[in-house]
Amino acid sequence: MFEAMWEGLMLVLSWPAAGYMCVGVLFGLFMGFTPGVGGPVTLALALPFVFDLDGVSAVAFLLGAHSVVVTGGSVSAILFGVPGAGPNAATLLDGYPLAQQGQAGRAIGAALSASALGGLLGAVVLACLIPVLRPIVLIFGPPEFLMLSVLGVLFLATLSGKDPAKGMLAGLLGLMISLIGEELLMGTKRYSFGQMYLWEGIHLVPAVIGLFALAEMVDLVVRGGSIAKQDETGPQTGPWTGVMDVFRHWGLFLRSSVLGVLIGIIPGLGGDVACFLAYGQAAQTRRKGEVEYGQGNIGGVIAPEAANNAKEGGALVPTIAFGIPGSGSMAILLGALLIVGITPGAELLDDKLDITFAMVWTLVIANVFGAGLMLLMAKRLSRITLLDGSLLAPMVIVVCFIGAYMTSGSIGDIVVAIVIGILGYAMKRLDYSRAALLLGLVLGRLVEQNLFLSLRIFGAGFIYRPITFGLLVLCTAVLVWSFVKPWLQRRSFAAS
Amino acid sequence: MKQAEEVGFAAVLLVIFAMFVGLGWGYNSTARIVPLTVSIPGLAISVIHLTRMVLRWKRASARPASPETATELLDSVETEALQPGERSPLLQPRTRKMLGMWAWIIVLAAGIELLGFLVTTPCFLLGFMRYFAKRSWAQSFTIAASFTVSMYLIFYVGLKAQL
Repeated sequence: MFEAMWEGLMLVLSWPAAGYMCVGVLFGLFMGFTPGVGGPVTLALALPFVFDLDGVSAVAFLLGAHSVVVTGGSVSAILFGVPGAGPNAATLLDGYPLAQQGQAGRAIGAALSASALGGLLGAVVLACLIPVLRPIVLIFGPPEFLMLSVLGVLFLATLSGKDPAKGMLAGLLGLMISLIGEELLMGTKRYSFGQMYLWEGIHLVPAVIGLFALAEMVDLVVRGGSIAKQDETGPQTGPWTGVMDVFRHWGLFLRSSVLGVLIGIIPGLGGDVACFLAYGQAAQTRRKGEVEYGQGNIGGVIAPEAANNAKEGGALVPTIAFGIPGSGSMAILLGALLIVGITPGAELLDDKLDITFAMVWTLVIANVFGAGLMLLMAKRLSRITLLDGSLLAPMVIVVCFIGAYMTSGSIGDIVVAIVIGILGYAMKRLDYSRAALLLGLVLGRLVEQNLFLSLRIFGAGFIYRPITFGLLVLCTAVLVWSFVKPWLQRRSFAAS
Repeated sequence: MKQAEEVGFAAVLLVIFAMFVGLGWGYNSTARIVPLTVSIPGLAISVIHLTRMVLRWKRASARPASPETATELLDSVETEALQPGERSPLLQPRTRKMLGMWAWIIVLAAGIELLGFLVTTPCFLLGFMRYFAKRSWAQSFTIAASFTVSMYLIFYVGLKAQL
C-alpha cells in the first residue's frame, strides 16, 4: 500500500500531469469565483479538453479544477454576498457580515485555510478508508437520510436568531418552496400556476442569488457607503488572523471535516447539505459570549468550508469503489474516467491502486496550491469591499442575473431571483433567518424522496431502525431545547 | 414603523401558508402528504406569530416611546428638513431609494428579456450610474463600456455561454 502511495505521488508530480493540475486549479478557482457556475458546470466545461490526455493527466486536470471550485466561490461569497457555487451559500451567512465589519481579509483567510485543511483531511480519510469501504456505504439508507435532513432544518430553524417562531416559519417556507414543481412519484404538478418553468421546481442558484446577493445589494445602495462599514484598520483583521482562527477553533474544524467526509461518502446528499449541516452543528455548539451566528461569527465560515472540501475526499469513495457517483460533479468525473480508460471498481482498489492514490494526492496538492494562491491575493481582494456601493451594486447585480440565467437559460430564473430577492430583503430587515429558508429549500425534495422510499421499503416501522431512531430522538431534543432555552434565559435574567 | 412592518410581513406569511394549504388540499393523496405535513404547522405558527406581533404593536403604541425606540426610529427614517412652504413627502427618502432600486432591477430584467444581455447591460449601467448614482457622463460611460467588454470576453468568448 505504501508503495502504491509513493507511486501515486510520483505520477501526479511527473510532467505533464503536474502542469495540467496547475492549469486545472487556476481554471477551478476562476470558475468558482464566477457566480452561478459551480462544480458540475466547471467539470462539464473542462471535459472536452481531456479526451486526448492520458489517464493521470486527465484525472489531475479534472480533480485539480473540481477540488478548488468552492474555494474560489467562498471569496465572492464573503466579498459580495454572491455565492460562487451552491455550497458557498452557507459561507456567506457569516462571511459577508464579517466583510461588512471590515474583516473580509480575516474571513477569506479562515475560509481558505479551512478549505485547504478540510481537503487534506478528506484525502487522508479517503486513503485510510480504501481498504474498508463497502460496509460504511451500506450503513445509511433512505430513513437515515430522511432524519438527517429533518435534523438539519431543525438545527437552523430553531437555533438561528432570537425568535424561534421566525426561524421555524422561515424553515417551513423554504421546505414549501422546494415542493413547487413536479411531484416525484406520480408527476403531479404542484403550485406551478400553469407555468411550465415551475414544473422543474425552483432552482437553487437563482434562489440563493435572490435571497442573499440581490437583497444585500439593494440594502447596500439604500444604506449608502461601501460593503465594509469600516476600513481594515485593526491588527485582528488580516488573512493570517483568519488562518490562525482555524487553529483556534480546531475542535469545530475537526467536527465539520468529519461530518463533510461522512456526507460525501453517502451518495446523493451533496455539498450543499454538508455545508449547512456543518453550519448547523457549529451554531448549535456556540460558546457563551461568542458572536451570534449570522452576525459575523468566524466559526460560520470555518465549518462550511472545512466540511465542503473534506466532502470531496468522501465523495470519491463510492465513485472509485462502486462506480456510484455521490453527486452531479462525481457523475461527470465518473464519465471522464471511463472516457480515458479508467474503470471504477475492484481494479482501482487492486491493480491500479497507484492511480487511486494519484487522485488522493491531487486532492491534497490542489487544495494547498489553490488556497495558497488565493491567500496571497486575499489582502488585495478584500479592498474591493471598500468601493462605493452605488458603483459596485449595479455590476454585481448584472453578474448575478448572468449567474441566475445560466442555470437553465430561462428568464424564469431571473424572475425567481427577483421575487425571492424581495422576500430576502424583507426577511433581512425583519430578522427572519434566511439560512433556515435556504436549508429548507435545499433539503425539501430530499425529505420527500426519502420519506416515500422509507415507507415503500420498510413501511411505517422505518423509524425503529437504530440510527434513524437515534436521529429522531436528537430531533426531538433540539425542538424541546428551542422552547426551553428562551425560558431558561428569561429565568436567569430575572434571577440576576 | 418596524412593528407595522412586522405585522404586515407576518400577515403575508399567513396568506402564503393559507394558499399552500388550500392548493395542497386539492392534490391526490400521494402528492399532498408532504405539502400538508409542512404547510399546516406553518399556517398554525403564522397565526400565532401574527397574533403575537399585533399584540406587541398594540402594546408598543399604547406606551410612550422609550429613548432607544426614538433613536431607532430616527435612524431608520432618515428624515430630511423641509423648506418653508414645502409639503412632507409621501415616502421617506430611504423607502423611495429602496423602491427605486427594485424598479431599476425590474427594468434590467425586462431589458434582458426584450433585448438580451449584450444590449441591456451597457444601457442599464449607463442609466444607473448617471441618474441613480449621480456620476458624470464620462465616468458612467467608461464604467459601462469596460464592464460590458469584460463580461463579453468572460462569458461569450471564454465560457461560450448562451446568453
